[in-house]
Amino acid sequence: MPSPAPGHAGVPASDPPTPVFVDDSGRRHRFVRGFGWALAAVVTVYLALLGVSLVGSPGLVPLSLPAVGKVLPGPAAPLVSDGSGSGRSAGELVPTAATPGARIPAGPATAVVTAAVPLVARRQSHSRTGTGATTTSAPTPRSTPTATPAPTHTSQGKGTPQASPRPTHSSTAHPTPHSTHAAGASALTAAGPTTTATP
Amino acid sequence: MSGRRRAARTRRGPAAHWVLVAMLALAVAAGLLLQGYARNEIGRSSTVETSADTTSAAPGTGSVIYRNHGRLVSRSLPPRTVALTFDDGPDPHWTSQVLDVLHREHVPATFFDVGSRVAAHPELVRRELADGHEVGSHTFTHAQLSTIAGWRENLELSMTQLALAGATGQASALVRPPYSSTPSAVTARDLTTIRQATADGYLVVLTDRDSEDWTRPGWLRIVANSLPEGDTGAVVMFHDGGGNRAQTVAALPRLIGELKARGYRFTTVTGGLGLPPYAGEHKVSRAEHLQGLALLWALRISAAIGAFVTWVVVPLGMLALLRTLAMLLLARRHARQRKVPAVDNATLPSVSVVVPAYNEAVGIAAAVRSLAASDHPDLEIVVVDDGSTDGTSDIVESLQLPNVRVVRQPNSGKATALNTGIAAARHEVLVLVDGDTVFQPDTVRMIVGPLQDRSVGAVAGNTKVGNRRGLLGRWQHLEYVVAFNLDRRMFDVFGCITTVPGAVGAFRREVLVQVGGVSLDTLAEDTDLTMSVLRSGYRVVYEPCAVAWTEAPQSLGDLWRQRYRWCYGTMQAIWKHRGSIVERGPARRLGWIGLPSLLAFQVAFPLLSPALDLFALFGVLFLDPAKILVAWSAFLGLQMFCAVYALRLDRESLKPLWALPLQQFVYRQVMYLVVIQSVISAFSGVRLRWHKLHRTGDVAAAAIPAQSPYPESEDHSSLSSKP
Repeated sequence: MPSPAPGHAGVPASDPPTPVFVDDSGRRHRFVRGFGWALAAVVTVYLALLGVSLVGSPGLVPLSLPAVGKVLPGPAAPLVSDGSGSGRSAGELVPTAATPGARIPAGPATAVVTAAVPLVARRQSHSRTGTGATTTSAPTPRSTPTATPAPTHTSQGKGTPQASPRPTHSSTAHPTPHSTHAAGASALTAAGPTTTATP
Repeated sequence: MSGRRRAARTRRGPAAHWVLVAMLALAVAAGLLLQGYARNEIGRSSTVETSADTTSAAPGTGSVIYRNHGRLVSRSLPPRTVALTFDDGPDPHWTSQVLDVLHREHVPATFFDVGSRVAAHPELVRRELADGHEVGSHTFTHAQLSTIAGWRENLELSMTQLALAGATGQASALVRPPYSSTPSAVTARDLTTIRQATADGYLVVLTDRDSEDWTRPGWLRIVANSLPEGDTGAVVMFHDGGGNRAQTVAALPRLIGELKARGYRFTTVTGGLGLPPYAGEHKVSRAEHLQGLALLWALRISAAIGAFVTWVVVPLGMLALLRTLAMLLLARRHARQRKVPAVDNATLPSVSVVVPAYNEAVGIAAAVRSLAASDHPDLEIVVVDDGSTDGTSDIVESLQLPNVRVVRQPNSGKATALNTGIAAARHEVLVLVDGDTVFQPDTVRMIVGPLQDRSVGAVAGNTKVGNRRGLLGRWQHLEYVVAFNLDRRMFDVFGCITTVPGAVGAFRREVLVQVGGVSLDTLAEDTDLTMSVLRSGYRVVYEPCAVAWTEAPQSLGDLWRQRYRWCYGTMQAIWKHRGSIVERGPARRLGWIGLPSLLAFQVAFPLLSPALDLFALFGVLFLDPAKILVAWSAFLGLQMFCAVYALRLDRESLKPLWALPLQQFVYRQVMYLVVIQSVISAFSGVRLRWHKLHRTGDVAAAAIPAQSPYPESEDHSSLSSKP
C-alpha cells in the first residue's frame, strides 16, 4: 500500500472519466426515440379503438312486426288509437287483412284466439328521461286520477303543451285528438285476456 | 461541439417523453375504466327485484312487447308453443353444455347474452347462432336499466349491439332487461325503460314462466316452475351464465321431454310471434362490424391492462410491506447492538477535513466556523475553491482561522475538487464535507471513531435537514430521518451501505488511494465512491451520532433537479459496479444485497408506482371503496409507525408527522416522475450537462435566515450529497 507523502498527491490522477450511460454517437438516443414513437403508435391505436367503440352503435333495423289485430284471426279486435302515428282515426277497427309491407304471420299463429282488448290509449310524452312516466303511463285499473300529469314536451320540438294527458282509466279511453304531435305520441294497446284489461 | 448540439437536441426530448408518459397513463386509466365498467356486473345477478309497488304497469299480459305504429303492443305466444330463453351468458362452462342439450333434443332457443361476456367469449355466441338459436341483448353489464341514468342506458344497449356486431356480424332487435320477470311484475319505472327500448326499435322480451333456476332449487323444482299452465304458450326463462348452472343443464332434457309429450312445439321468440325464426337478427354493415371488432379488441387490451396492473400492484404491495417490516426489525437490531460510541481522545487520529466549495459565499463561513469549533484535538480544514466567482475563498481567508487552508483550482467539478483537497490534505483520515453543511462540535470526533477498527474503510454520518419550515422542508426532513436513516441502519446490519453521504463521511486515505480517488464517471460520486470502497474489501459503517445539518431544496424545481441527479447518478453507479455480483468477499454483499435493493426500491418500485395510484383510484371507483380505504390507511398506519420509531431513534420531535400522510399526494408523484425521467435519460445515453449540476444557490441564498446552525447555501451538495 503506497504511503502518500503529506501535502502531495497520493491519489493517483484518475483516468480520463468514462461517464456511465453516456452515448455520444446518439445511436441509443435515436433508438429510444424510435421505441417511443412505436409505443406512442400502439397507445394511439388503442385509444382510437376505444374512441371508435364508444361513438355509437349499429342502428337497429326495426322489426316489421304486425299489429296485434293482424295476427288475430276471427273477430277483429278494436284498437283505440290516439289518432296519431298510424294515421288511422281513433277507435278504428284494425283490419285483419295484411297491409302491404307487413309480414304475414307463419302458420301456427292462426291458432291464436285471444282477443285484443284496448287497455288505454292516450298521449304520452316521449322524452328520453321518461318525465312523468309514472303518472301518465300506468294504465292499470288502479291508476290514480288525482295525479297531475304534466309531461314536458321538451324532447320534441313540435310538442304542443296543451296536449296534456287526461288520466282516464276507462277501457274505452278517449282519444286525444287535439294533438298533431305525431312523433312523440304513443299509445298503449294490450292484447290479452279481457280480465286484466277491464277496470 | 457535438456535446452542445446533443444538449440542444435533448431539450426537445423531455416534452416528447412526457407526452408519451401522459398517453400511457391515459391508456392505462382508460383501460382500467373500461375494464372496471365491463366487469361491474353483479356476479350472480339473476335476482328479480320485487318492487314495493306490486301493481303491474305492463301494457298487457303478453310477455313480448314492441311498438307498432307508435303504440305499445304486448303479445303472448300461441298455445302449446314454448320459447326457451337463457339469460346471463355466454359462459365458457355452462353455455356449451346447454347448447349440447338443445342440440341433442333438436330444440331451438333464444339466448339473452350479456354484452361484456359476448366480448369475452364471442365464439360461444357464434355457436349459438350456428346451432340455429336466436340471440338477444341482456345489456352490456347486466345493468338494471330502470335505475340507471339515460346516457348509461343508451350505452348499455349500444355497446351490447357493438359486441354482437363484432362477434357475429349481426345486431339483434331483441332485448330482455335484466331483473325483469313476468309482465305482472312490471313497475311503472320498468315501463319507462320498455317504452324507450321499444321506441329504439327493440322487441322487449319478458317471461311467462320463471324457472328460478338461479336459486338452484333442484332440477325437479326447475321443471315444475317451467311448465306452462294447461296448454298456454309461454316464454320460459333459464340462465346459462352467472353461476353454477348444473341444475339447469339437468332439468332441461326432462322439461323438454315433458313438453314434447304434451304436444308443445319449441320455437325462438320471434318464431313464436309468427315471424321467421331469426327475424330478430339482421346483418350489420361492414363498418359496423369493424366498429364492433374495435370494441372487442379495446376490451381485450383493457383486460390485459387490468390484469397487468393487478399483477403489478399485488407483488408491489407485498414487497413494500416486507421491506418495511425488514427495515423496522433490522433498524431495531442495529440500535440495540450498537454500543454507545466510547471515543478515546488519546487514540483519535489526526483528521483532515476537505470542503469542496463552488460559489458558497452565503454558507461557507457558517460551515467552516462550525468545523473549526470542533472538539477534535488535531484537525486540519482544507477548503477547495472550485473556481468560485463570488469570492468564496476570500470569505474563508478573512475568517483568519488558524487550522484552515484554502486551495484554489479552476472550475472543474466537485469530484475533481475533492481529489485536489485529498491530495492537499496532510492526515491519514479524511472527512469529506459539503460547503453548505454545518457540523456539531462532536461530529468529527464521532465520525472518525469507527475508523479505529482497521477493517472499516469508510463511515457514513447522519445528515439532517436544517431548514424544516414549509411542507417541502418537513417532507424532506421526514424522508431523511425515516427512509434514509432506517435504510442505512438496515444496510449497516447487512454490511453493505451503498452511500456515504457527501455531506458527512469519513474515509481512510489508503482506501481512497486504492480505489483511485473520487471518480468522475457518475453524477453520484459519493455512491460511486462508497461502492468502490466496498469492492476493495473494506467495511463501510453508519454512525448515527455524527450529525451534520444540510440544507434541503426549498422549491419543487430545485428538488426535482437534485433528485434527478441522485437517481441518474445512482443508476450510473449501479451499472458501473454491476460486476460486484460475481465478486467474492464484501463485494458480493454489495452485488447480492445492495445493488438489487437499490434497483428494486430506487428504480423499479417508483417506476411502477403510478400503476399503484391508478389502481387505488380505480378501486375507489369500481371495487369496494371501503376496502381500498382500509388497505390504504393500514399502509399509512404502518408508515406512521415506522416514522414514529425512526424519529424516536434519532431523538427527533414527533410534531412534523402530520405532514406524512400528505407526502402521498405531491411528493411521491414527484419522486416517481423523477425516476421515469432518469430512466429515459439513461437509456438514451443523454449526457447531463455539468453546468446544470452546479446550482446557483440563489434560491437558497434568498431564503437564508441569518441565524445558525442552519446551513446557508447549497451547491455541489444538491447534486450528489445524499444524506
